[in-house]
Amino acid sequence: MKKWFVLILVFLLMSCAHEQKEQQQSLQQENITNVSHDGSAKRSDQQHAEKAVEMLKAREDVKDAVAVQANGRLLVAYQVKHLHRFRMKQIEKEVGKALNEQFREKVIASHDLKIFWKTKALKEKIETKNISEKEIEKEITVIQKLSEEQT
Amino acid sequence: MANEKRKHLTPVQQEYHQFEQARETKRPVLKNCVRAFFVGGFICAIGQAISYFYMYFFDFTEKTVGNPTVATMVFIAMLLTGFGVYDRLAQFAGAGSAVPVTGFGNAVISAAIEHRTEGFVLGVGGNMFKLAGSVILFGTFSAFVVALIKTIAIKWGGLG
Repeated sequence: MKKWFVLILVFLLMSCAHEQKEQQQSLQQENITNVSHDGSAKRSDQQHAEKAVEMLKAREDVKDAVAVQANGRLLVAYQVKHLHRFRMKQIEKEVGKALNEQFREKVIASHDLKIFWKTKALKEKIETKNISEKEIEKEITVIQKLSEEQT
Repeated sequence: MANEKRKHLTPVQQEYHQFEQARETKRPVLKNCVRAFFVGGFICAIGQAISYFYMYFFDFTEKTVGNPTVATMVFIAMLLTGFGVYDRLAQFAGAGSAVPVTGFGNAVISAAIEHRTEGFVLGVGGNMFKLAGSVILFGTFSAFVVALIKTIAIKWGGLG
């Protein structure tokens, strides 16, 4: 019985680790791979994307956000903090409403991890390879299709 | 046994009841719960890893990744049942290995293996869903009832 008690205690203590520290670590790792420190692509044609990322990061329930824009379309992907995921539908509604009110572009907002990865990869491509707007648009269409997929 | 029921027992029966209670081995409920919790959690962690694998290397989103993950987990559980590993795990973890979807795979394959000697059609085919069939039936039927309630609530109750 004592052995079990010790085992439970160890797991409890392990799960009590402060979250902030972990987040800092992951952010540090991100900084190594990322070119810019905020989640938006830094180009003159990406100003609205930058603004959208700022807007989302100001929310306390959003962990991270990336955004890319091209030809009247704004693709925003964000990640919701773990315990706030219980209110996912409400957050999704709020974010969608706020973005639609702020920007006149067609907003494609998603909290999906895959969309987040894809958008981040696209953003990095825009920063490093200087691809044309047409190519960005093509990639955004692919990501949009993926985000609309149903089971 | 409830006290009300015990009143109707004869003195001999009551005596036997006390005799039995004194000698009965206690079920280690807490220990079983802890085992089920950790093994069940471990199986779910493997499932999460598989879903991340599918999302990272293939074009699955969080919404669509459920199907291939469940299929893979059931497949792994079937292989482990065939090799006799899952039975040992189930002995140790109890509900921890039966409640996740892997328990479903185990239920199908163990019944199939058991009736293999009776032939492929009447043996394997006829008995494969002996255990898992009820799970499928209850799942489908309860989904139907919930969908019915939801439809009625939305159409007439003004919800949604």
